[in-house]
Amino acid sequence: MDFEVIEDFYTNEKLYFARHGSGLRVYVSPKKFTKKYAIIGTQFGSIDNTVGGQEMPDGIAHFLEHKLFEQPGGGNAFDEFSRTGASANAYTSFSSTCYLFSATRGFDENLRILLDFVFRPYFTDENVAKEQGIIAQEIKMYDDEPGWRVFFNLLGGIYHNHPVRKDIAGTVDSIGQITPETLTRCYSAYYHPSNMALVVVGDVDLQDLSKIVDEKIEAEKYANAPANVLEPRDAFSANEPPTVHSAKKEQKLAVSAPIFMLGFKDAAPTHDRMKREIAANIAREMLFGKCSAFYQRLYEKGLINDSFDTEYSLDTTFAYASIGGESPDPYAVRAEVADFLAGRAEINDVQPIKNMLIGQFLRGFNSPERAARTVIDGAFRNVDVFKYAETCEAVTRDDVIKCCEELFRSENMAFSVIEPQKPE
Amino acid sequence: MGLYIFPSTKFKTATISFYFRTPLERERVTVNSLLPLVMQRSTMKYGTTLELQRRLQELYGANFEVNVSKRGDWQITHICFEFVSERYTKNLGILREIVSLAADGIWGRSEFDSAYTAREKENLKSYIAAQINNKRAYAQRRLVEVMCEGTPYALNSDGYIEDIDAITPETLFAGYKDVFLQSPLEIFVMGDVDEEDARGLLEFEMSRAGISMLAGEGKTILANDMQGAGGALNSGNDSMTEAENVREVVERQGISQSKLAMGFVSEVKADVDEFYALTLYNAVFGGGPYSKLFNNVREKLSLAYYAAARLEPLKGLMLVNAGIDAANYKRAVEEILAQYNAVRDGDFTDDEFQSAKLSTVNFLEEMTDSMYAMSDFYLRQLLSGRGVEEKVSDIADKISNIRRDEITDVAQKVRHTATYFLTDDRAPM
Repeated sequence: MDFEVIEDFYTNEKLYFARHGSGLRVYVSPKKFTKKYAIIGTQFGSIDNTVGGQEMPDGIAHFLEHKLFEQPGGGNAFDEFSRTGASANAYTSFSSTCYLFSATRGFDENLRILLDFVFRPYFTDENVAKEQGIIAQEIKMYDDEPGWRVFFNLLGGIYHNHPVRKDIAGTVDSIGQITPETLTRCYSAYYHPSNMALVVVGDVDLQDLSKIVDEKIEAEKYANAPANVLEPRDAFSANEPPTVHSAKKEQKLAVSAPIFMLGFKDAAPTHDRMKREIAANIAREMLFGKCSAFYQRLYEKGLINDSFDTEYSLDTTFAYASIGGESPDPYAVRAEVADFLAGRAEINDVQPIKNMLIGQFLRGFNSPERAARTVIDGAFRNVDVFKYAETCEAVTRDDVIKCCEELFRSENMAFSVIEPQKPE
Repeated sequence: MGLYIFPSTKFKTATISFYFRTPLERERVTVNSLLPLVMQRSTMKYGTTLELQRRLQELYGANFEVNVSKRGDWQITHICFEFVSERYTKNLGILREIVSLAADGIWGRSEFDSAYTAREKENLKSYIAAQINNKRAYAQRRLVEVMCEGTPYALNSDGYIEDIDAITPETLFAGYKDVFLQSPLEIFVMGDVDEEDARGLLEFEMSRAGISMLAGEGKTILANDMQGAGGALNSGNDSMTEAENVREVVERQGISQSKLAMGFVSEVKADVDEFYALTLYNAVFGGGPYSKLFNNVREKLSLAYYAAARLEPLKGLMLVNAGIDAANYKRAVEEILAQYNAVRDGDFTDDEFQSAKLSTVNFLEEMTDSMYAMSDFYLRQLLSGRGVEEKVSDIADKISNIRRDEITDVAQKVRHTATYFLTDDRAPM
């Protein structure tokens, strides 16, 4: 592979990039940490629930993530990593599945293990049945987590049809329908190297890395890239009305006090995505952040506490802003927000918030994990991560005002509350 | 008291961690837990929360975090600042700004704002009450309360709701003087900083505040601190080690997944080298995906998504936790005990032993890539009396040289003393 080098003088970071013959995008961040880190991911997440027009059981991307660790002969890839001392893991998000390891020694050997198991699926009736028990426990664990429930209930309130409204792991029922055949169909469709990216963080030899990738992923085998597998995602945006699905969702759990989230639906922008993301982040911080009059007023009233947080999330086919936390009276918070948005919000100097965002961006390079995550997310979202500081500086106060007016409106607001169970 | 500076340019930020420690005592924990919450609201220079938060935001979003925890029989008050380094914040003098803000926030106090105090009292009540929300952590907390009942380690270091209203401005300020002006303090500075600048600025601010800094002697002073007010760290004869029978406590909430927590007591604590054998024993038994618990409770029997064991180094405790179906309670307990017996009997393969060893060494070495993990590590080294001279690489070497028989030897000292089960209020038992 021929690597090109991207250098960024603002962050003092360097990144090598090459496209392997198989179509795999390969990035290397030559950072000098004690450990080396590698992550390989595919653009296949919980929202990708169809193959060739046929609907798949909910939670299949996550199920496949678990099952890929399984090795012919009954072992699993965890055992192989453990034999070198490496620490391995995987995760499934709305729009990607990623497999990773970190190790202070034996990087080459561990990279071989990683590429071996990701490109060697092994699904049997027995190992699928076994995983149904384990993942059922994972689902039940999340069923008791108020922060997780309030979030998914919110997404269910914001979205009518978009599959982001469904739980990433699916349900105990839906995973019961998963078979070796459905797993194989998903694997064949979405685990083509051209749909994937590999990110290495560490001072590795690029020649050695190329050799291992060549050895484990035969370019000829993947000569015929499938047609755009992400095409079904276009329908998600097309089938989703701009309004919210339901203004209110409630659930009772064994918690000490109510927990709430308010969500604001945004149209996923098709261009200038990074700029939109930054403007929205400045806007949410300006209106609801710790330095806002709104936050301080509600905090002093005792309506919110330190658990209060705000977020803007921008994925390939959906975007929303959210605020939330614990409150003795979430309905009063909602009324305060509606009143506040009905008036004219004060937009002050945006520079301190820009400083804060740049600080957070820089902090993201403090660990190999976060640096790799930034790079792979950038690859999947088609943004140049090193443009962040520059783009941030270019966002104007007017951009932020416009974003406030478009995004933070009572009409596109959804509300999710977890109420404490009353003792019987 | 000591100041320890570990500069490294692999980070783009720096952290300054202040660790104050006081003995865990029921009469003090709640005041000590409230104090940093009130202190985080304002400083002398930035007299309102809004002014303080705006200043932190201007400083490239510097973090000012506080928390309390327990380590051994100590309550630790941790005040931490993280900030983007000078290199990326031209001409701001950010290190000087942060050190002066920290000193002002910690030592520049003459009273506490009554409105802020009242608000934080309410917030602390909510925070303590909310400990039931995280079921996994709650079950482990309750297990420790059960197995260490009657000892300081059973105390909730976040405090007690029923003790909050009684706190007056006088008792709060007395508590402040006790923790922040008179108790042992360790300061760790990590990350992209100039060592001499950091030392000079901190020493200047401390001498101004009248805190005597015994530079260079910090490590030897500490050994004496250990036998101070907190009592001997490793007193050994805690009443819990006397327990003959296994205590079993079952509690109920409206939950989907039941939480099993099992407590084991050993006589081996972090001050002796045998602790490293215990570390490896814990790894073989329940340390990670290479362990007995993962491969049997999860992979073989499909009983759980997670089943793991961890150590409380300063107390020599091993805590097992798993999330299971209510109906599988007996089966899960039996399987965990079967694996415990297996390790004790030496029934583990060389492969399992080597995987646990290499993974433990890898875990230790990876800590050096995190400023927070290293601050925590050095604090533990100091509290256990081992000191900061023992490096991660020394410990890695000791772990690497442990033999199989050392695992089975230390296993004989590990006894099951308590089982706690948090289950669904509709499930039959």
